[in-house]
Parts: sequence; structure tokens; C-alpha cells
Amino acid sequence: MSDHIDDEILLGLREIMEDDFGELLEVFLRESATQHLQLQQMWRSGERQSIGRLAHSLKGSCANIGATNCAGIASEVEKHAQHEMWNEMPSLLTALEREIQFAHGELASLR
Amino acid sequence: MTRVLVAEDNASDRLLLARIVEREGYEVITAVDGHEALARFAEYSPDVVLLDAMMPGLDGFAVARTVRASSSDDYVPIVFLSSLAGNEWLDRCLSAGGDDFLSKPYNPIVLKAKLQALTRLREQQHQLRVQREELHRLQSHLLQEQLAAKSVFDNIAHTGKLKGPFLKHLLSPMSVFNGDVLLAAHDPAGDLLVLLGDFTGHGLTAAIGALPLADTFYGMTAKGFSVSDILRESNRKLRTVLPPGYFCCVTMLRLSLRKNTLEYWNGGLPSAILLRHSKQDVFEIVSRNLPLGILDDQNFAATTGMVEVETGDCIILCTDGLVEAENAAGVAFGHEHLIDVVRQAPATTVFETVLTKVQAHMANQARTDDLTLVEVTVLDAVDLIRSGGDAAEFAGSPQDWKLCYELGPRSLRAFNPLPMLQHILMESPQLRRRASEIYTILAETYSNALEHGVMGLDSSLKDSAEGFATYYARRAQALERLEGFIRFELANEIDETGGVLTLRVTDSGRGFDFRKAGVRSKRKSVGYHGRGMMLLNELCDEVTYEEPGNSVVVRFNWSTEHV
Repeated sequence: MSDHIDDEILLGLREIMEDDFGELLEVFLRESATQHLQLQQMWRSGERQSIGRLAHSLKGSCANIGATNCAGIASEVEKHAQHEMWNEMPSLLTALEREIQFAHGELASLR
Repeated sequence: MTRVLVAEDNASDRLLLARIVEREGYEVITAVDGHEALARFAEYSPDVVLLDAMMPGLDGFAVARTVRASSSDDYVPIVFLSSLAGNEWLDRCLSAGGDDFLSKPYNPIVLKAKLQALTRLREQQHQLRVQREELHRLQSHLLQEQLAAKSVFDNIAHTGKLKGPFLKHLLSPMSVFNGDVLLAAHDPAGDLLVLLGDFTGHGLTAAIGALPLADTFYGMTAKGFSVSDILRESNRKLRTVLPPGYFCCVTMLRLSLRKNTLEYWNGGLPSAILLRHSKQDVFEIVSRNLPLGILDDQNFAATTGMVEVETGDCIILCTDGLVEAENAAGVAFGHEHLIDVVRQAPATTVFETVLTKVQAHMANQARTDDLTLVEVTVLDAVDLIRSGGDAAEFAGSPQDWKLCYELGPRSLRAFNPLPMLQHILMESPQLRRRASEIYTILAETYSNALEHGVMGLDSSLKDSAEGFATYYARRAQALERLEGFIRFELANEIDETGGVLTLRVTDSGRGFDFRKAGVRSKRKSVGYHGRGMMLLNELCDEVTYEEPGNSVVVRFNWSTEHV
């Protein structure tokens, strides 16, 4: 159905969460939005030591919800932060923002 | 219900994981960070912990280490949740105490399998702990019981004459109980009986047979049974008591200091060694019999050997644990070597020399058998009596004393004074050794005084069988209307070399012509009535009659033998 969300994972989540599937989506949307905002703030303010950990956390929740592309970019952010390779960080964060917006759009329509 | 703690800082992941776990039928406790995880762990004691590795504040590794350090009795499996990759991270999880990993995205089937495996692991660990505790409890209970039983056992099996200048011994058990048993006691004649036994096996099964053996040995020795009798009875009893395949190798000795003889029997033990210092030779008491508890009574040979000994000789007894004791190279101590050591040892320290050599031979080798070494020394008879076995035996006992005891007609008609007098005499330990002789002396003098003295019966009646019956009919009549008295005067004296018991028995009768009686009993073959006087003469050092023949004085030197 989409390039941004893994349908098979979503199907599994529906089965597991049953009536609480909507709540799971809400929690993810809220949390991932917050984490993404925090990432951008950290980058702008030069607070780099926590970028890796936050990207790691975002990667995990994205993977679990089926936002596979998001998880992939978050993983790149995490790796670059770990090795302190900051050159590509601005373009990675831009890519992450765009991908999160796509994913959010699709997930929001499922509520 | 199995309780699972889910510690995950990511809200959506926590929600999802909690639901997966819940759906599998587990009770779920959640925590949002490391500190809360530890608090929840302490509060709810979960059975399994699912732990996110990366959490703000206290991370998963720190939580795992704290749980491992504090988890008291039961093992709590820990699964790390992480999308971390690489061996370095896996290694950190393991060294922090993790049992498994689960990576994101979560796979419900994989998680289900892991939870089942870990729950089973935990149950097994729990059972293992319960069983281990039970085993530990049983073990300490068993040990306590064994120690209690051992004190009872030792009281029965290892009492007797094990202390004294004539006996040195070392009993060295492998376990709590000893399969070797050493028994020693004096018989009523003052001979020393020693029995060394080695039961098949070690520990409790080996030791249990020692109880009937000790019981038989001490009981029969005290009653004066012969070595053959005691062996035969022990064999019979052990054959009844012991299970098939169990038996007891035995060496038994009777050392008679008054005859200077050693009677011996060996069934299955290494040769005992008699070291005769004056003759400078060694006599081996070789096993020529099967151990006790194998043969039935008919086939059991209790034939003993006899050898002369003299003061200063010694006998070395041992069980095969000593002869077979191995050194570091696996070489046994050996019988020939033992004989050499005994032969060359200084006369007064044979036991100590053998012991030192054996211990040096074994060095630090672990023993594989019970090990027993015994030395019996042939002491001078007087030394033995003076040493008296042990001083404790004499403590609080009467030694030098006099007693006068007179019975009037009413007493004489109805009362037998002998048991009471014997009892008083037996309070003196030196006299106890000669109990049967002393009783015979008392009984003979008393019946003479009562029947011939007080009642005036004619002993010549007893020459024929009819007269014998007549005699006892008259005795019964005379007893009913008896008048008069009998007086016992007893004195026990002690001197440097031993002591003498003196007994004067006086009756109210007219007396008898003791000179004529003495002549007559020498001339005639021994008749019924002559027996009493003959016996007295045999047993006592001196028998004198006082005029007018109603009083007899006997002197019994209890430190020498009259055979």
C-alpha cells in the first residue's frame, strides 16, 4: 500500500493490540514527533553528546511500528553521531524530517 | 502466574511489548527507566526481566548487574531488549548478566519462545535450589545422627580394658564409623582377653556388626568362657546378623600371666607378631581359619594355639589397612617390612616405632581403609595387679577393711546370707577378679558351719545314695527347730605385693575332730562329704581349725593363683 510503512508489520500490530491499536499509534506519533524535535534542537544548539542515544531510541520505535525508512535514516544518524562524523548530519536530519512526515501522514490516516 | 518486568523508556515500544507479553498469559509490570526498574524489581520480585539496554539515567547494564548481585536465592533470567548491533554490544549484555537478547522490531513468536524457555529455566533453577537445600538438610541430619549413633556405638564397642599399661592401640577410621573393632577385658581368673576385628567394608555397615560382637565378647568374658566358646558364639551370632557377603576377620588372644601362656586364634587378619625379647625371636600368629560369620557352627573350627610367653614380650596386632598402606609410588607397607620394623624397634617403643614408620611410609597419601595397630605387652603379674588396669577402678572402693557378721537362729532358719556377703566382698575391685573362688570359699564354710556345726548332722551319711536322701530330710527337719548362731569375721589386708582375705567362720556347735577328719580325707578316695574340705584346701593358702573344732580360719591370697 505504501513505501513508507511496512504493511505486514502493521497487520501484526493490529492483531496484537486489537482495540488499543489506535492508542499505540497515538503514542508513537506523539513520541516520535517529540524525539525528532529534540534531535533538531540538539543539533542546532550543538548539544551533540545525546544525539546518538536519541536516534537509537527513535530507530527502535520506528522499527517496531513498521516505519522502516524512518528507522533506516535514524540508524544512519546514530552511526554518524557515534563516530562523530558531523558533515552529513544536516542532510540526514532533513531526510529524517521528510520521511517522518510521510510516515506520520500515513499512520494518522489509519486512526 | 509468571510475572514479567518490562523496563523500556520508549513509550510505544513499552506499550507494544507489555501487550505481547500479556497476550501470552503473563502478568506484566512496567518501568520507564533504570531506577524505576530496580524499584519495581524489589517490590514485585518478577520471574523474568525484559530490559532495554539504552535508557536515560541508569542504563540496562547497570540494572542487570544490580539484579544479579542482589538476587538472593532464586535465579531471575534477564533478556536484553535492543536494536543495538555488533558483538561488542552482545558481549556487554552477557557480562552484565544477561541470558538472552531480543531485537527490534519485536517478533511476538520469537518472544513467546524465549519467555517459555526462560520460565522453564527458572523453574528448573528453583527446583535445583529446593533439592540442593533438601540434600544439604538431609546430609547434616545424617551426619548428626551418625555422630549420635557413634557415641552410643563407641560406648558399647570400645569400652573395656582398652586403657592400661599392657595395651597400646591406634584406631584410625576412614569415616565417622570404624569398621575395625578392638575389644579387651579381663576374665574372672584375671586373664586378659583381646579381640581385634576388621569387618568387610567401611563406615556404618561395617561398624554395625561390631555391636553384637562386643556384646558377646564382654558378656562371655565376664562369665569366664573360653576363647573357643567365645569365638564359636561370635561366629554363630555374626552369621545370623550379617547380610550375605559380610564377615569379620578376627584375631583373638588370651594372655594368662599366672601361667605365662598366650592362647591365640586368627581368622583372616594379617599375622600377629609375638616378639620374644629374651629369645630374640619372632613368632607369627598366622591366620589358619576363615573369618567369623561365614561357616556354619558344624564346620567352624575354634581350635586355638598356645605359646609360652614371659614378662617383657609383646604382641603386635594390626588390620590389613596397615599392611596394605601405600606410599606415593603405590607400594604397600608390607608384612615382611612390618616384621623387620618390629624386630629392630627398641623394646619399650615397638608400638611407637611401627606407627612412625607407617605414617612416614604413607606420607600424605589418602587412606583407603580403616587402619588399626595394637600392642599387648606381657607384664609381670604383680605389676598388673598393682597397676590394677586403671586407677579409676579403685577410686571410692573399699580396700582394707574388717567385718563381723553374726546370724541368730531366726535368721539361720529362713535367710541365706551368701549373696549379701558376696556383694560386700565384690565392692573391692581386687576381689572382683576372684569372684568365683571367693564365692566357693564362702559357700563351703557356711554350709559346714550350718549343717555340721549348728545342726549337728553327720556327713558320713552322705557316703551312700540312700544316705544322701536321708541326710537332706533330716536337714530340713533340723532347720525348723534350729537354735544357735553362725559368726563370719572377714578382713581384707593390702600390702606391697598384693593382699590377703581372711575369713573366720565360728558356729555354736560342739565342734568336730578336725585332726581325724583331715587324716580320713587323705586316706579315703574323695566322697561326697570330703569334697568340701578338699576344695577349701585347694583354693586357699591356709586352712586352720580352732579348738574345739567349731571355728575355721581360711587365708586367701588374692594376688597369687592356686591352680
